[in-house]
Amino acid sequence: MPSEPSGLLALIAKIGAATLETLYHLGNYSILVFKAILGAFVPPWRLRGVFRQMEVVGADSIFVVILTGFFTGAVFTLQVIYGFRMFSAESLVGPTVALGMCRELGPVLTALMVTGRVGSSMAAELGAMRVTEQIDALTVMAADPVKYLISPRIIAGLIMLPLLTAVSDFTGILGGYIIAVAKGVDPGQFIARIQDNVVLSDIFNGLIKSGAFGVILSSVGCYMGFYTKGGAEGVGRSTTKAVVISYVSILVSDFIMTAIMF
Amino acid sequence: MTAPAIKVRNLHKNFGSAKVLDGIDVDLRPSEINFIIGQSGGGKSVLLKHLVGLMRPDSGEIWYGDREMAKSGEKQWAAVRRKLALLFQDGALFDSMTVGENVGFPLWIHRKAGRAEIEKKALARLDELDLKQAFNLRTSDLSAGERKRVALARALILEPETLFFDEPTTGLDPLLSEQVDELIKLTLEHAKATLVVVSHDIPAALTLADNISMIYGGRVLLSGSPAEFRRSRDPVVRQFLTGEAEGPMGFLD
Repeated sequence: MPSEPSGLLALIAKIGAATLETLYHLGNYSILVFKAILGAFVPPWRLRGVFRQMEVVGADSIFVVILTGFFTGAVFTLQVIYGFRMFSAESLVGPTVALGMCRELGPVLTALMVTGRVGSSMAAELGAMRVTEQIDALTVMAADPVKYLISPRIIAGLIMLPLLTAVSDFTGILGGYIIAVAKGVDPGQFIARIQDNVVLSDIFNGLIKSGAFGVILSSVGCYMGFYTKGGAEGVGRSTTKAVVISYVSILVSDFIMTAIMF
Repeated sequence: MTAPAIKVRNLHKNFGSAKVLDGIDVDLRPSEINFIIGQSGGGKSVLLKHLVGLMRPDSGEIWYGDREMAKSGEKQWAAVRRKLALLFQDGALFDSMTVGENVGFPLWIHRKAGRAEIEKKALARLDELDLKQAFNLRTSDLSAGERKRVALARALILEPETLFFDEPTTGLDPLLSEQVDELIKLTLEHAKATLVVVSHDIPAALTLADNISMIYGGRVLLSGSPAEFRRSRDPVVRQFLTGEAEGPMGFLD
């Protein structure tokens, strides 16, 4: 029997095993997402399931998104005013806040908040269904569990994240406006400068990014839940992994998309 | 003798170095109650998962009539699964739905009927099992026995040709176990389906079964009628039937 590797060999073996496992999950994840997207285009369509998930992802998250957007815009404005005053450039506070919210803070913070609220619950719900054999029951009924469970969640993520981001952008700018005006910035100038400096592509590119984040957070949550192993403990592990992997994926993909788009 | 509804030949499945199925051969006869018995962890549930396509074997054959399924893809399995149902050990009822929605779900997912008709059929199935009053309840409000009955109602609603039971009496008290045994008998009378019961409930197997296959060491040790099992002089079969701790099987369960 071959002996266990030690020292440097053990380290290489560990790195190799981790790489293989990561590649395995990446491959499996890609297949699952492909099947889910395919399932969304193949009849029969279950619109009720999609609307239900849109409610969970969108309507149920709106309050937390409004709060996050508003206070992010407000605190961002506080910091920007402090810096811009040094150069007597308070008139640029409006476009700075608006560009920051639309291009970056709105999409990313909304995605992170929704991941914490919805991505984790998707992983937990599907994980519980896996360990209680409900997903097996669907399979035995000749119902495609990917089409029935995952496709509606990914569609909901894709549609609702841009809408939530639009809300976040608006409330962020509103929060910024209130703070800016309270700090002595001229309200008319705040809005006029936004109109002068923010173009539609700033808003749309942010919304496109948020659509991609919606797909990432829902698909990662579903993947982790769908392949849960090991009872209640496994469900907890899947939920944590779903949140951590979604966060990292959102931030990495944000960097890549921003580098390409802007 | 009629041809078997399901035929398994030389089925192998390993998990790592553990040989769980080591050349299983079994015939499951149509419109009869077929029991698959054996020790806990002996591969019964793994065999069952192979029979419904939830697991794929390392090698071997699974025949549904003249269709070999072991190497078939999901599409072929989906076609076979439309004619079978599985009663899971804990029911595997959908928590997010009411009892009525659970029972009607197979009709809904396959678009077999409109909403009103699905409700009517689900109610009728529940009524047959004396659970009409539970129609609007959540599944979390049901007792273990009621969950089994709701799961049976759901399994029967598409009138399957083959119905599998996974450890139907495990975790139930003797009274409920007897009720479940009655349900199995009733199912055969009403549905005329091929029933396959995976269990380690020896009294139920000896009373209800038309055929019993006993799995031991990853293989079928003995296949036959309850009378043949009672007559068997095989020490492993004897120990399993009598439940004695001492014997070739070691400690039971």
